[in-house]
Amino acid sequence: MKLLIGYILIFALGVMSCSTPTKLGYERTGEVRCISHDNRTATFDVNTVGSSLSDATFYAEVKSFENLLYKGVPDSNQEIPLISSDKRTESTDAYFVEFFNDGIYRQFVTASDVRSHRVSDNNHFINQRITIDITAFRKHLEDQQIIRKFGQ
Amino acid sequence: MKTICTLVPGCYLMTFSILVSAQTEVTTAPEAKTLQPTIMVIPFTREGQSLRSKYESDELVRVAITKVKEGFDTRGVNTIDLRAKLKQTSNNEVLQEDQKSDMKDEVIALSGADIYVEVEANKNLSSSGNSVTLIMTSFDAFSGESYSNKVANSPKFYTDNYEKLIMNAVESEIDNFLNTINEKFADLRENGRTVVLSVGILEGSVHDFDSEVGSSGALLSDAIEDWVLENAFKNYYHIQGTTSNKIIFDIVKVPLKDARGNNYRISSFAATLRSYLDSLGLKSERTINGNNVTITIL
Repeated sequence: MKLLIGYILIFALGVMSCSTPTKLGYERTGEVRCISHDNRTATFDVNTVGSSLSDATFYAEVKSFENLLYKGVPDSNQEIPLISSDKRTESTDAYFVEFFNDGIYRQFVTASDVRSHRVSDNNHFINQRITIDITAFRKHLEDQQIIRKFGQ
Repeated sequence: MKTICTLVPGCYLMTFSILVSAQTEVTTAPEAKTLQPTIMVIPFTREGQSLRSKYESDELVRVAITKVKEGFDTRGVNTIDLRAKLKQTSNNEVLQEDQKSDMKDEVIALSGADIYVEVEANKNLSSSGNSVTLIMTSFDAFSGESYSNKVANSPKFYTDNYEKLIMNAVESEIDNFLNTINEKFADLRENGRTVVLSVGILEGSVHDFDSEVGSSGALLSDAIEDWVLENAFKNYYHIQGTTSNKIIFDIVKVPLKDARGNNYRISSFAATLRSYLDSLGLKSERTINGNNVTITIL
């Protein structure tokens, strides 16, 4: 009997260890640090975690854009958010989903390099350095009527 | 390609967080096209100092002004050129050397600028290298209210090329400077400009604020307050104080632009109030100084 229980326990542990790990979703945090900026671009160091390296790099790029959009990045040339929180509407949700899913945001990424990569429990922790052409990004948002032009 | 919005359960968290954070600002319906604010960049001058002499004698300031103007150009905003405006006003014989003290106000008033930006640049010399400090301050030309202030320092270099240092300093802060102006301007557009309105009774007049006026027999003070309520932008006003012969509204909001998209003129606000007083059988005079309107009932 004891042997049977032992087999069952071993089997259960085996099943648990072989099950597919939960896929890590995107989470926006403030782990975006401005390294340098000029009058057009800004370079950020971003920390993220994903279930794969490609997931993590994608999340890092989304996170850097989202911080620019909704929070602003200290010590950068965009310290205040591009989009102020008091004017949030649902009408742009679809636009930003498309903006990221269709890779439109890549038009404004001038450089993106993984600087460090560590795997722990199948999770990929990365530090990525991303340079964004903020002037072109702002112009794009103005053209799409996501934000207003200066003074309008 | 990775997606942030799919129906795959594993992507739910990702989808959710993006959707939440994407609840953004944004212009909903297209509005009538509004005119951009007009902006003029001028050097900071001390009392009695002429704008022209400061501009012409200080190369550092000229570089700083040009770089700040470049920043506005990048955002698609045209600026009024100070030198051209100085020439124009000079041709109009408005600016004489003996009017130095008033010159800045004159140039600003005659320029038609909505916003003016004052730029001050100073050299810092030290044994560990030279740097420059740049002070940029923007004001509402209408009320003198400050919009945005930034102090930018260039890194220290062993160089005498101060123009390069000033470019460095401007570039480090110009975007944030413009962003703050833009934010303040958006707030003005949304909530209106502030006008200070004083309504008084001329000494010796037969009227006072307790006089009954109009067909309803309302007190004059109540009638004026009702008018301000109806005519203030978004009905927003605040009374600082009332005496028997004076009412001071320290905040009366007026729109930034009129229905045609032109700058709302404070004189038209005063004129409308005078017409209303006239309809009550009261003659009045008005004085306008910046954003201060004084109406005196005769």
